Amino acid sequence: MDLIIPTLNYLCSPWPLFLIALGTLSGILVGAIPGLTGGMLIALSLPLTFSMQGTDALVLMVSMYVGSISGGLVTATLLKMPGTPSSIITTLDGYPMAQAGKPARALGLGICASFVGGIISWIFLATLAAPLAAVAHTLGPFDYFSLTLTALAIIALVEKSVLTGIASGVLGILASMPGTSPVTGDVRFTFGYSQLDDGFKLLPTLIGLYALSEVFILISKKNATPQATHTGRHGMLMSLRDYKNQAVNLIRSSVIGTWIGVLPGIGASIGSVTAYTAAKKFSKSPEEFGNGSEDGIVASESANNATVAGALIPLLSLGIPASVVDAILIGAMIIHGLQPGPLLMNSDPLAVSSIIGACLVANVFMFVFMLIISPSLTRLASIPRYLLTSGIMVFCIIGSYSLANRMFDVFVMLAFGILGLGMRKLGLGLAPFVIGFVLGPIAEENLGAGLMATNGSWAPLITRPVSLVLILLAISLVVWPSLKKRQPPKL
Amino acid sequence: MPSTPTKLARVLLARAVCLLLGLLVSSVSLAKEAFPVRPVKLIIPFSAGGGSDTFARIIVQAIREENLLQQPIVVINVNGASGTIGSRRVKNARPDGYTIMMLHDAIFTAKHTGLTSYGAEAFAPIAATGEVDLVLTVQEDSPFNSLSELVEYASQKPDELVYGTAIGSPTHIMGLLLEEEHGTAKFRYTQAGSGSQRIVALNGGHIDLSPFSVEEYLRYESTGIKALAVFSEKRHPNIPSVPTAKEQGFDLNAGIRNFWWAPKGTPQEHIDTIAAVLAKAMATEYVREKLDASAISPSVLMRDNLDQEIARRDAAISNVSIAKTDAVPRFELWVLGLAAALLTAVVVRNRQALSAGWYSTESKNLKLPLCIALTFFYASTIALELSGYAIATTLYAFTLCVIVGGFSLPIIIRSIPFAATMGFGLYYLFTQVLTIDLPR
Repeated sequence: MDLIIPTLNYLCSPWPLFLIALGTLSGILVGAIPGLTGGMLIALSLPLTFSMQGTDALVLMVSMYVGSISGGLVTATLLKMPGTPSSIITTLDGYPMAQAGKPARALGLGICASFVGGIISWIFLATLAAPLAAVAHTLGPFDYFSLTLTALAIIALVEKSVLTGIASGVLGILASMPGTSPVTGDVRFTFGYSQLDDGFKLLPTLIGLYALSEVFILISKKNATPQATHTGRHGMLMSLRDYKNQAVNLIRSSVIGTWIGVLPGIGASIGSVTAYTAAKKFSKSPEEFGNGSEDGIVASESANNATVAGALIPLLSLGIPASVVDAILIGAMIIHGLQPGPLLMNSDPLAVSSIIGACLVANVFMFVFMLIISPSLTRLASIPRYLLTSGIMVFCIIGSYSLANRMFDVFVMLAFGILGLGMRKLGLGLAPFVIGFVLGPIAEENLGAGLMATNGSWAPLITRPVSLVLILLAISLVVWPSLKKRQPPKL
Repeated sequence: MPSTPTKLARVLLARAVCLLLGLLVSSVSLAKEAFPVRPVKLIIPFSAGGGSDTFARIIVQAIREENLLQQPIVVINVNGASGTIGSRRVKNARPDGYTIMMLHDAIFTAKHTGLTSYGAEAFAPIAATGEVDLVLTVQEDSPFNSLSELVEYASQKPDELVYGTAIGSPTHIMGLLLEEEHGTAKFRYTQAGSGSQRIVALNGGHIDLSPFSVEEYLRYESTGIKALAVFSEKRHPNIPSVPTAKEQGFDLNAGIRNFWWAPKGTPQEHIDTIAAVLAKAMATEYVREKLDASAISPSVLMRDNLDQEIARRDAAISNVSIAKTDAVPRFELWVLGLAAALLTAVVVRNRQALSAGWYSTESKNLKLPLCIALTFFYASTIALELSGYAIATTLYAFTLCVIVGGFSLPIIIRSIPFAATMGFGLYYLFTQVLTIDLPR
């Protein structure tokens, strides 16, 4: 408790405040640009922090992390191009709502939900860090597999037809398989082409399918009519009644997001997928999901923001990185002489409390920045089409190239752009494909790891209670809608 | 005074000739003595922010701060497939000393596991700097208190103790070397991912033992694990109470070394220049401090010592064999079959709707194919380094604007500054502020 005064003292001095503002703003911008992600920003700016003081460097990077997760919702909502992978789900409802003439409302819901998600998970971070991190240990590979399976079940739900949803999702899983197996390390489906040994990376695949195919459609449209957009802040802030209506959804999604954030090796995208599925399950009007549902936007955005503070929990309390960005933060800590681990809280308590405090301040800054810049962002869709398309193309190309300094990833992105265009034309959903692509390897790795540990026995899938519950949940998620369809609609 | 101007001209000419000659001479001697005359590219075959990347950037920082090399070393991350994407690029790079790579023991394991057809022999070794020592750990309440107790048990009940590792990585090889050294012991290897995933699995009792680097061990020690042995020549100064494997009767030294490589055929004097610079950098206060924080031993190997060490490691690895697991079915074939079946079902059920969707192209204009072709052309230009990034991108962005927007004056006027900002601005941002390797 006696840390509060020095922490406040530190956070209220101009330099850290400037760093938080800089980090949050650059995070939002990078997050909003399809092709560039927060992880990339943080990894590439790590060398720039070498000359900084350790706590300052981490405060800057944590702020980037918070900003980048939030920025993705802007392009997801307005252009149907998720700026970051964690905003895939936001496109499902944000874009239809913006198309229906309510872009400010859609952005506002996303921004407010992001803020609430950030704050709720931050409360967990500040109060319950150690016990939460300890619970994560009890989950084994089979439990992780079942959890991923539950999240995967959504592929059956986001499309109008269960069959096309599953087919598209399984194709996505298939597309994740070329390259090195996450279980055995064997190389498969590469046909001897060594550039493919690393498979198709997430970023080129995702921006190819979503951003590029959308750009292609924009180009091929004869006369793009700039849609009417609300510029003003009207409808931007959620009213008290909104908060009351969304309270349960907000809390549930934020708790799910925080929890998924704590688990190592599982990312922000799963957080928003799982929260979205849950929101749809509990919703009184599930048919609105996918057509501009407010609940959908709120669930996705509060959950993905909640994963940030969630991921900081094992990092700060145990020194265990729970996400890709966390792993980079560990590197930064070591460089700057902050020994990460359970002892960090004792050896450098001020650093820990400053980072936790910065996470809160960054969320507030994010909220303010997003509200200030969003009215002008709603005009994003009315930027002349030729500038928008060529700008996005250039960003997508340099972003893919920067992943590993090679052109192969750029060609992968172009190929998936053409595939995405074809899938849109054929009416096959992109969302199940991408969800399959993201979750497939995680499911495979955990199932394979479990099988190696049991020497081939599948039994723990149903003998471990956590796993059993999750599997039953996954099955019911897929079976329930088709049962429901047979029943006469109740009025 | 008519002669003065001619005189002046003559003097000037003479001076110019001297200067030119001097330049010529000095450039010849430069070529002979002063390698490097342009920045050296250091390929790190792992992603930015990881352990190898961090280590390399610390060294590079020290070289810059102490002015050890007259040209900068630029770190370029070419990550993927256990370091093989990057190592392949360096293997095929021009052997002029301007492309080098830092890659640890994964260079041996990649060949041994069949990921690559080449190993250390395909490169010219420069130096080995720093050694990450590994410790073998079990849960705190585990019945095993020494390495021999553990290995004895694994020998009496083979294939029972679950050894968590990243399959095919140096930490996996360490277990195999231990089995090989003992003779009859056998562990059950399981994929448990990176150090952060392994510690969670170990604490949760999902695996029985796992190796960690000393730095990781120090970080995780108090979460409830204990070290049975450190696999180094001498006890590690940061954990003096942990006995070495050698003390317990296992002659194993399986630390992970950071090796520096150049493409085969690189002139020996250039290799020596870089090696000397690396050795100097390793001796700086800055590097010592950082290495101490990461618990990396600051040893440096060059020349004969280096060759011996590489030969020793290569030989040790070829002694062990990695058994393929039969516990894991071939998921990729399942998924392939499932995908084929589902796709057929979708096509059969929706064939009419699908064909309608395919032909319902509302606009049949040439813009899209033109843009796609232009994009492929642009990407190929950069891939083949036919043009610099800034120029190519400016032209590309401008042409795209004109194709999409139409050929009219206001569009051209707005596109030119936009395209130039994209091309030159991004080039500056990505090469000067961030370190991305774009063609000049």
